[in-house]
Amino acid sequence: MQHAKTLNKQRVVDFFLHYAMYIILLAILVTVSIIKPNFLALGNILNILKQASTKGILALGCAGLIVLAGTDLSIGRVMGFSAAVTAALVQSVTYRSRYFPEMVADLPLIVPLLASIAVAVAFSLINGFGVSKLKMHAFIITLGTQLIAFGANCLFIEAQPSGTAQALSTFNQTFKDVAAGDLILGTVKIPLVVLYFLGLAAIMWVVWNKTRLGKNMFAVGGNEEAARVSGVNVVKTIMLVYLIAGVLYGIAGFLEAARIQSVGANTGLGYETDAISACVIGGVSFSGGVGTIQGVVIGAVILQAINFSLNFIGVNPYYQYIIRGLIIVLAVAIDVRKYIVKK
Amino acid sequence: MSGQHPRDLRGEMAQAEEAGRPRKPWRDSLYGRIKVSVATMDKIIIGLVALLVAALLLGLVTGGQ
Repeated sequence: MQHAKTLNKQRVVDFFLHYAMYIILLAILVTVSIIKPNFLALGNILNILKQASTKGILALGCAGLIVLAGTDLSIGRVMGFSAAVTAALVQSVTYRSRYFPEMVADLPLIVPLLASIAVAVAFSLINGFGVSKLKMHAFIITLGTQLIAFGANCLFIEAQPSGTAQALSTFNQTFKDVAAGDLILGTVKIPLVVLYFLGLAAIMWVVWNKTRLGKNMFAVGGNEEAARVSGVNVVKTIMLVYLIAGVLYGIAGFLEAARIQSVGANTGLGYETDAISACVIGGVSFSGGVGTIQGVVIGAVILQAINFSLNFIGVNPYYQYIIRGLIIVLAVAIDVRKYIVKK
Repeated sequence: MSGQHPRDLRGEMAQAEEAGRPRKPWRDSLYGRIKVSVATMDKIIIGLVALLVAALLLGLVTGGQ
């Protein structure tokens, strides 16, 4: 009897420790909604989803790299550069200080979208080549491309005809409608960016779960040598995962430009932290070979909900950094515990 | 080949040895060397949770200033 009680108690403790991350995050959200009941207003929820969307798209790209037991520190800066390229191409033709004064008509939106993707893919392929062919650690190569992307972005923004480094703004209406518009359902306005995020998540779910690339990605992330022996083309798999990440960063840059309406040199600063945190919270293991798309989506939304709620109840911004850092450390500690228990 | 001194073959031997030995999965490489018991990890997690709660409370108290 006593033994059964101890066993049950141990099970409860195990459950709480295993799911500590989700329990704490939910507890924070519940506490905030008790302190400020209007936190759960539909407008706030849609706002959280809207803010989570671009970072969620970045996290979808980054998650594949983490499954490969890598990482990407260049996400934010690359996305910032993509957003700047997008911004320069979608400025209103009636705006006198536009980046391309010779442009007299709005470009079809596919042009800035493809330009944004091309910029991000170029950086991502450099990262992929460094990791797969040159066997460089992802941390180092992406640190390098992060700085290169930032420098290139600063040069790009400073090269505007006005000769200043002012943020690129005043976008054409079509771009704002398509990239930052809303789907109106009765009285509810659902931001289109949320739908784009969910659509991309669905596509990525198929890629991860129903394609050979997805299976190879998990095989390489779980045990690269075993995957190689089993006939998986490791270099090709890594390059393709980086390519997909680049496409997603480019799309995120395009959408982020529309969301923030003004793109400067600092756009994207720190986004890599949010994207990587979303993956870690969503259960993508840094040890590679483990992760789900639904986890990444939930991780991105929870992380944004936490950020939003901490601001909402007026938590000191410096403490917000500490709290976010602790959440990441806690997620890793739980991952280590799961590993030890399994072993 | 037969004329080569064993010391000149050291690189090749190391390579052959490496190829024969199965590599550890990433998870083992990352966490495998951690010599911590589950009970210690529990204490670390509880400590982190306590720190998180403390940071939240301090952030709330100082945020209003």
